[in-house]
Amino acid sequence: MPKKILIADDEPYMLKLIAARLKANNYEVVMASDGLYAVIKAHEEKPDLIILDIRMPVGGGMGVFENLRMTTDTMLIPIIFITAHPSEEIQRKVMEMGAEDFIAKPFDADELLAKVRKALGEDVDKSQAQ
Amino acid sequence: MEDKDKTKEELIEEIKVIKARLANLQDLENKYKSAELGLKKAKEELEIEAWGHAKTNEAIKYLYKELDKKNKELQTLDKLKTDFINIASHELRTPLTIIREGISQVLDGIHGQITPEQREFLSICLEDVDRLKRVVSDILDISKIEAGRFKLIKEQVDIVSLAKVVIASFYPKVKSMGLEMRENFCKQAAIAYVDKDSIIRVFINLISNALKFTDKGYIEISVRDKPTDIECSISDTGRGISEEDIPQVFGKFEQFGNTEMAKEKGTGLGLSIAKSIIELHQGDIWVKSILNKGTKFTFTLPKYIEKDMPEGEDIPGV
Repeated sequence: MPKKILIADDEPYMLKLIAARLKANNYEVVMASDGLYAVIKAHEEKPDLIILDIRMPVGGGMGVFENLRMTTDTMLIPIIFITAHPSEEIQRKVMEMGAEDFIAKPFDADELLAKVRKALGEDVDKSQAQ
Repeated sequence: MEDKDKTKEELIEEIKVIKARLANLQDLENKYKSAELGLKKAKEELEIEAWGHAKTNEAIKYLYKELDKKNKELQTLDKLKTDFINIASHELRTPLTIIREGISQVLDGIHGQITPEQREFLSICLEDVDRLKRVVSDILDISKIEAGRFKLIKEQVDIVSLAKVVIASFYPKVKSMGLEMRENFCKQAAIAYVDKDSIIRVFINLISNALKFTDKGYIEISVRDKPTDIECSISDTGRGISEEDIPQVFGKFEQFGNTEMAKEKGTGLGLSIAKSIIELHQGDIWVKSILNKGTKFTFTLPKYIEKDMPEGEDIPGV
């Protein structure tokens, strides 16, 4: 069964492109265009991984993260943050919060896929098989 | 009455004495008056002087205020510049990611087959998007360095293994260019106390620069463990830099020679960033070059010494 990934980003093109890339790599994709919708979808869909944009309307990525960590059904889902405003402080902050990984825009597909695989615990076998 | 007994002469004498006293008094009064006048004048002079001082003070205060204002204006301008660069760079990131990802998905065939012509032109687009990406991230780094917000997270790093990792990432490219990559490392580990990511950046920038200007021959990377510091160098057998261009090598947006020939265009910021990073580490960086023979960039890094360790850290089990 394909792993399910929830992506939340308020930039529709970004959302569409990340979704297409993940689908092409055999992942099931659920999309959310703001923080509130991301929380609702996370509870409904119970994804294996969540990718959150830090700056989003109706509760940015960090708000969503804290919200999801408070309920038992979503508290263990690994979360990767994405931001167009990267800084060492933000990176350190989200990693200290317990995020799985951090991606700075502009990123490329290889970086995204590598981090997704690592977060899902798939990277080891695949990289060794190559 | 006794007075009546006084002779006329005696009276005249007395009158004379009285007159003399009177004259004396008048004299004293005059002296007093003139002294008073003098005092008054002196007071006035002093007042004028004091007024002058007050005026000078006022003028100095005004000048200080003006200076302060100008200083604040300059600070505001500097902050505006930094903010502008930051915002501009950040606002470029999202569209750049979207453009790059869109193009590479079509190239990867995710959205269906493409013709070789389409592939060729999309590959050109992708190459230049990547170049734009590098420019944006270089500009952001330079603005961070200039604003003093480039933070180093120092740790013990073995520069030999770090150089090996960086070099490995260049092997395919060096091979495809028909060049040779030579290593000249000290036998044991060379432990420096540096910010790992930024030193990787320095190696990448210097090796990329060497590749850009070398058509045949080799690139040699050396790491030496010297008594006072770790010395690294990147030398090439490329076209070299002319003597008059050498002083500008580390300047911003400086590009020399026929960069049109270079397979991958640079941002003109790579060497400037490398220099800033090395200087942030209190190291030195310099270049020696002979036209049409080759170029050698050398930089030094601080060695790891015990006292670099922050107190109270790294005491496992305590």
